Amino acid sequence: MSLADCLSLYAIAAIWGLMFLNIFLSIGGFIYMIRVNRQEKDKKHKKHQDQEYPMVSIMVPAHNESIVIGKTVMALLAFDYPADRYEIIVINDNSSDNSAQVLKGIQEKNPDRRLMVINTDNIMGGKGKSNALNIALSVAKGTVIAIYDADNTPAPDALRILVENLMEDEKLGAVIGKFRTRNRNASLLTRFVNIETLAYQCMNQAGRYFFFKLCTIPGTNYVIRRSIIDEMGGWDTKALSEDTEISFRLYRMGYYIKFMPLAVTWEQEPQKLKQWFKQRTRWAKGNVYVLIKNFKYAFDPKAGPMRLDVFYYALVYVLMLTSLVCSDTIFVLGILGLCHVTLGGFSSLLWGMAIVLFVLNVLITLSVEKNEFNVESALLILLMLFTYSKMWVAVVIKAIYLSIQDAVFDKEVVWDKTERFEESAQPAERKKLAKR
Amino acid sequence: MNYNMMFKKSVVLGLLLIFAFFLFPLSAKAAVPEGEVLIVYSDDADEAVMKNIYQIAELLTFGGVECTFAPAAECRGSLGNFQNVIFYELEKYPPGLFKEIQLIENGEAKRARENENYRSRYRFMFVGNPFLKEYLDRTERYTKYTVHNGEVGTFTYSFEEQNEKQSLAQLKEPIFYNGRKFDYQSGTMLVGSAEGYFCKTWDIITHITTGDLGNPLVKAAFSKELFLWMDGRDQVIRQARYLVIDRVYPFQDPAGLLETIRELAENNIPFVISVMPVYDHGDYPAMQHFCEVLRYAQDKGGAVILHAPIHHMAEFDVDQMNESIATAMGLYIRQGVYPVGLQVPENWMSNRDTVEVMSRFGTILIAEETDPWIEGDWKEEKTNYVCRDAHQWIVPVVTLNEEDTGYMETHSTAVYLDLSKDMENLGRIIENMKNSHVPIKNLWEVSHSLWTTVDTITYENGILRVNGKETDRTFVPTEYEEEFSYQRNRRQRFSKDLTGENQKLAIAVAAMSILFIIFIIVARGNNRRRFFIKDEEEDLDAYWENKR
Repeated sequence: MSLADCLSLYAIAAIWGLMFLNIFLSIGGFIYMIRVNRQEKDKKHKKHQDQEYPMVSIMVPAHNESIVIGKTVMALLAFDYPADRYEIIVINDNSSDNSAQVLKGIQEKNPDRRLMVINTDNIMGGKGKSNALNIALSVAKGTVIAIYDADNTPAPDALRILVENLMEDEKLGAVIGKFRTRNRNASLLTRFVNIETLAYQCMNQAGRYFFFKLCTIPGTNYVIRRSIIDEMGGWDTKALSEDTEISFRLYRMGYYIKFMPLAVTWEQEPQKLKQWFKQRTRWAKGNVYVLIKNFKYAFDPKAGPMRLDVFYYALVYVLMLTSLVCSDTIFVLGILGLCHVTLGGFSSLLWGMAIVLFVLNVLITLSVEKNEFNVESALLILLMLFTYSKMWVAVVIKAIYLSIQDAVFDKEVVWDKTERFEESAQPAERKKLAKR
Repeated sequence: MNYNMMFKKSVVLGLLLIFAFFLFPLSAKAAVPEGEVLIVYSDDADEAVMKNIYQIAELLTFGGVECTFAPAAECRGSLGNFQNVIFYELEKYPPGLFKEIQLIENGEAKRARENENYRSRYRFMFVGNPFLKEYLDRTERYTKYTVHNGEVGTFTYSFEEQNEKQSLAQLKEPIFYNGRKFDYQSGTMLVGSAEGYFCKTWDIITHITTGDLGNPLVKAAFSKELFLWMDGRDQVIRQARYLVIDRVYPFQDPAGLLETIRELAENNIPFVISVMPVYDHGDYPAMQHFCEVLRYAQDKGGAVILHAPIHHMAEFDVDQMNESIATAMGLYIRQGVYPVGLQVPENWMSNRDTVEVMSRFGTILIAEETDPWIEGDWKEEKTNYVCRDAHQWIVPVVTLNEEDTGYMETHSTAVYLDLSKDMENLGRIIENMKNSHVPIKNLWEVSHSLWTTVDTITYENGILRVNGKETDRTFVPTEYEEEFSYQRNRRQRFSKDLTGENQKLAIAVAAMSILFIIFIIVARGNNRRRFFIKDEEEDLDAYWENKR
């Protein structure tokens, strides 16, 4: 058995293993989504009395977000949550743009609302999202903390749904909502991101929650108990993926996280490759940090279901990466005639079947959504397989390289902000325009 | 002796020594290895000529005759060392060559005149025409030949009575010797309207009118004349013919092989089975069943030979090859199958390393294939040194058309049968072999010997000895285990072959796809109810907006 045979066998086993894992999660996710949609239809979530709702502190870390922050704050102010039961804390973190003025303007227009703006300088702030959240936490009055990114426009009922679900169970540490791509039609890249978001973040979360009551906080559109954050001592400022990091800590404390897809927020995704690459590298780097930091718990029986999550991350980052690198290398070398796989039954049928499953798997997630399931999407999924997923390999390789570099040179964590873009209209507005 | 005289003698002696010093290396360089036959070719011989020279050398090899081949310039002064000299299509040669031939011819003629019973020990064969014409001219025998125009002649030859074979053959400047006195003549060559001979002998000279050895009929006739020329005209040459079932692979369903064996046995046609080597898993049921059929074949008069391992060694490793052969042989021997020879690619006979591998086998079958990793060294060696190992050769038959089974009878030949292609023609092949003038022989009728690093096999006087122990090859059916344990874990099964897993995977993918399509239909139905049916909100965004 040659080296090419060994690597091919490994790639086949790993890719198919991960494929079946994804299918398994998709099946669970699909059932969960259908069940939740039925609940919505049956109007099971009846509105509570205003005084029953806990005080919520919505924290929005923002760094040079003047383009989007206005819309975000307006959307937060429009929540159908009792206005006196929530406050909005915007941490204008060492911004050099006119965010402060934009926010001041909104404050002036809404004098009766609890909107607090904390403008930080480069001494106190500018040290990343975790640091900004810790600053906000120090002034927050709520017993429940809600986090929204500065580019989010949540649906009016999103906060209410999240809080109502959090109130249902004492052991529930956090509830996360679904996030959608606001600018999905802006470019081919945002279309890819939209599909990826639905298939691999939303459906996977749903599947993991359905089977194992396991979720990972996505960084935005979630609520968490204040007491837990206090117990944790705030956010880990070394973690670039503070959301993943906090999820792991939460599970270790004996709580669990619930995924509630009815609480929707729309967020702006990178429209250009450079920004996308930067953002995804930061995420991947953060996840690598969390994985390394928490890998010890994978073998700790006390870590509970979190162990599964550690394994899941390890599978995605180690197995997926290496198997894709192996298969692509063998494919390229095979075309160049530099390597030949002699494995019996190693045929294009294997890849053909994998492609069919991949496309169907993603199509399921799109079929649950409105206006996402069509021929164009199916073609995009195919195209995505040969382009976008290859870019993911490059992202992870760069993230690993940077992580090693940071470890070797003991570099401080820097929050690499994602560039924002002006948008023409909100989704609802666009639909109205289209109808006209 | 005075001082002057001594000085003169010293000078002469010194000059002689200097002359000898320069002469010695020249003559040493010109010397060619000795053998039974010397083949002399043109000094400027091209690839096509060399191919024919090697063909003659191969024919001699298969006849067990060691030969030497060299360009004419290197053969000067060596002609007298050989009893048999072939001048093949000479065009460029040193002028002194004629003198050397003439000297020997005249000497032999003189001895023949002096003694009526004298039989010359020298034989010169001129293949082609221009060189013989030049020689006859130089020896003033201008009237002893006729010259004809044409480049192609109609060649007719008879290998057996009342069965003439005909073919067109290429010629160069054709001449026919017309001396009244000649000792032997065979075949006819029609050039234009003139009818001459294919082969003619007078005194010590034999003339072959064409050297077109690419023509199968010419090659077969040349081969016959070559051995008649060497062994004497009264010799009856008729070697054996073998039917070889070629390249039979183990681990395959042996049903087709068994059927062929039964048919051949019913027709009393002896046969040989060439089996491909196997190095592992000799105890697997597929191998056991295959060997069971081979044992049955041995009992029915079939002999087994081993095909040489197929290798991809840029640097041929003799030890590794010997080890592979030993492993493969051992595997068959432990199953009661006793290969009595080795089948090798045709170019194995012209390489020192492969000749060393072959030296362990008495019986060698030449396969209809060439080893692309082996380069021949005959051009450098100038001799078919493989002859020194005294192999018993069986070579692929040269057929003239589909209806015959070949006319080469100077050495043992093999008619190859491909189980994957020739099954439909088996009846015709059996009929042709039965009708052939060359007798079909059983490999168990001749002696064999071979040794590997592990085993030895000898077969002599009908007694087979394996590692010195007399062994019976009578077939006894074997009882097999119903449940054979392959002792493979899942990883080993995967690494061996994914085909089986692919089938399972295809079923899983089909099931999964159906499930997914059902999911999609369900989801689409739900969405339609949620978003389009009147009692629901028009769309989700509007719904939430209304609630605000």
